[in-house]
This record gives sequence, structure tokens and C-alpha cells, in this order.
Amino acid sequence: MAEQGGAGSTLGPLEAEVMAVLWRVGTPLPVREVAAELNAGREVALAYTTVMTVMSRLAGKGILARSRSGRRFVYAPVAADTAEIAVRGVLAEFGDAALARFVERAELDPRLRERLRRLMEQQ
Amino acid sequence: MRSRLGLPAAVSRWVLLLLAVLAHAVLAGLAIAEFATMGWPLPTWFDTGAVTLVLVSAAAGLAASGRAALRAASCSRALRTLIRTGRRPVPPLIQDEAAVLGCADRLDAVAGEEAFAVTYGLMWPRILVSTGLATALTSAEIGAVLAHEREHLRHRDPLRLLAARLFAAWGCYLPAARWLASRAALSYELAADRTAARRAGRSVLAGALLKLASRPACPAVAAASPARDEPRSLEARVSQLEAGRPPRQRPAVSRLLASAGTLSLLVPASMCCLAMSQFLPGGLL
Repeated sequence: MAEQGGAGSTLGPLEAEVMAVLWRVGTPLPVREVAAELNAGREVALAYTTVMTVMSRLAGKGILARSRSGRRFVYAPVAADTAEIAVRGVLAEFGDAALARFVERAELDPRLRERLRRLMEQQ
Repeated sequence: MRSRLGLPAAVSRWVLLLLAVLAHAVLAGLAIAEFATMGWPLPTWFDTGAVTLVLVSAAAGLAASGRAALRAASCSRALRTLIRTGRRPVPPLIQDEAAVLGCADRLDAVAGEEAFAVTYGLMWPRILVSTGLATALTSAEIGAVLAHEREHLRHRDPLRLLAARLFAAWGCYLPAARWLASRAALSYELAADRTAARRAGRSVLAGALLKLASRPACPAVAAASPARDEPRSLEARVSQLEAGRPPRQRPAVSRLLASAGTLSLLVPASMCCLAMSQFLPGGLL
């Protein structure tokens, strides 16, 4: 799905493999199918729990989005490539260092949202 | 700051702050020399306490501002490296708006569904956008965002922000110093918004702010992001859009009192440190 950028070092080796599978397949996958993809051609198979831990960690970092599909959870990449993951990591880590950002994403106060909406409707 | 007092007052304020930091650093140098010459403790416990206070406050300021400078340098270096390797073609919609604004040659794009725009780089700032900006906003809203960022570019705001943060870090024991730095950062945002609103219109800028701010932040970014002042900053920006003029910014009384209390200790300690320098070989007084 996406060409790899040059920032693979932001992900661990197994994390990078998981992301590569999800980017290649292009659709949200459950842990079991990702594990099957990873174990194809591998001499020592990865345990299901290992893959689940890695994918949970990626979801915790905001790199994978987890959603329910029937009775199971499926995971999809939020970022398009490793470069995007790395840029997001830098912005998150150093966001206040020396950057002028248009606006941070934030949980908007409903009153502020309403004021912005009123401004938007004015011509 | 600049909007109310004009450029000369703002510049002279920064010069005064710089002189205060330099004076503090010189006093810390004197404190080291006094301890090196006279040993520990100094003749009276009052002198020892005063000179130690000067030295400790300067050391804390130096450590905090060094850390802030290191973070800024790391950020700029990391972003430049990443952008060199992960740069994507700028989407045509963004490229066209940037060409109209005359900043197309200082624009980089990285892939990403998350829409963002930042100005980065201390000496030669550039604008970085995600390709997702083209799908999240209309062309007029992209024009407003780029006009806002171009204003940061023109004034080298990343460098000015760094100066404000270095000052705040040096005065980490003064709550008012942090407030002054936040006030400076907000004044840069408000100035950029005024330019963007003049160019694209208030309603268009409000639309861009609403769309980009109201997306829920992903957990990792929200947890790591140190933008604690963001809700207050957005409130001030919305107030400016409504009223057409920047809102008044006042420090909390508690901050002023805490800073005055700290200064009431530090100023006499500094004078004591200066007076003690007469005992140094070739003493200053």
C-alpha cells in the first residue's frame, strides 16, 4: 500500500514486520491472520500472544487503529508509511520545542466549537 | 505584546530580559570565584546562603535552558532527516495555494491522513504539511492555513519561540517567566491569524480551525504532546476572530506574587554576592 520511508528505525523489528503485513494486505486484519502471515516461511513460529502484544503496543502508540468486527478485533494502520510514523513521533515528542503548529488536535470545548461554527457561518 | 506596545517596546523588553539573564550569569561566575577564593562557608552564614542561592538559581536556569536548546536542535535535526527521506510530492491543491502565496519553494509534504501544518527550522524555516491536509480542507481553508504558516515563516517564529522558551527555562524558578513565554507564543499565533483572516476571511479561517482542532488526538500523541496551553490559546484565537482585535492577556495574581516573592530573595542575594566580590583579588567593588 505504501512505499517505505527511511525512518524504519522508529519501529522495532517485529513491529516493522507487523506493519509491513498490514500495509501489504491493505485491509484491517485480526491478530490471528497477521500471525499466520508472519509465520509463513518462518522456521520458528511466533506465538499468537507475542503478535498480540506487539499489535496492542502499536495500537497504544496510535500507529494501529483497533475496531470490532463481529466477535473479534481487527487492526488497521493509521499511518501510511514509516516516515509518517516517524514524523508524528517527532511532532509528539518535540511539539513544543521550536515549532509553530497551525493548531493542535484537541478535544474541543462544545461552547468553543459552537463559537467557531457561528464564525464559519458568517460571511 | 507587539500589537499593543509596538515593535520598539517589544524589542527593548527582550533586550532587558537578555541583560537580566547575562547579569545573572555574571553573578553566578562571581559566586564561583568567591567560593573558590574564600572557601566554604563564607565569613557569615548570610553571605553563604545568599551566594549559594545565586549560584543554585543560575545552575538551574543553565540546566533548564540547555535542555530546551537541545530539544529544539534535536527536533529540527530529526525533522530535516525524516523529511529528506520521507518527502512526498506536495498535493496539487496545496501546491497551487502555496504558489499564490509565494511560499511554494519552502514547502514540504509528508504522507499522512492526519492533517497538519507546521513551520519548523530555526535559521531557514520551512513549512511542513501532511498530504491529508488536501483532503481534510477546502482550497480556501488551505489558503488560510498556508497564509498563517507563511507569517510564521516570514518572522522566523520557530527561532523566536525558542528564544522565549530559553528565557522561560532560564527563569524556571519564576512563574511569571513561563507566562511571558506563553504570552509571546500566543502573540505570534494571533499575529499569524490576523494575516490569515485578512487574506482568506474570518469564516474560512474559523472553518480550518474547527476542522483541524476537533479531530480527536490519537492516544499516544495526546499523552506525549506538551501543548498544555493549547485550549487557552485556541480560546484566545477564537476571541480575536470574533472581536477583530487581540484579547487582553493578564497573568494570574498567584504567579505574580510567587515571582515577586522569589525576586525579593534573589535580588538581595545578588547584591550580597556583588558586595562580596570586593574580597576577590582585584575585587570589582
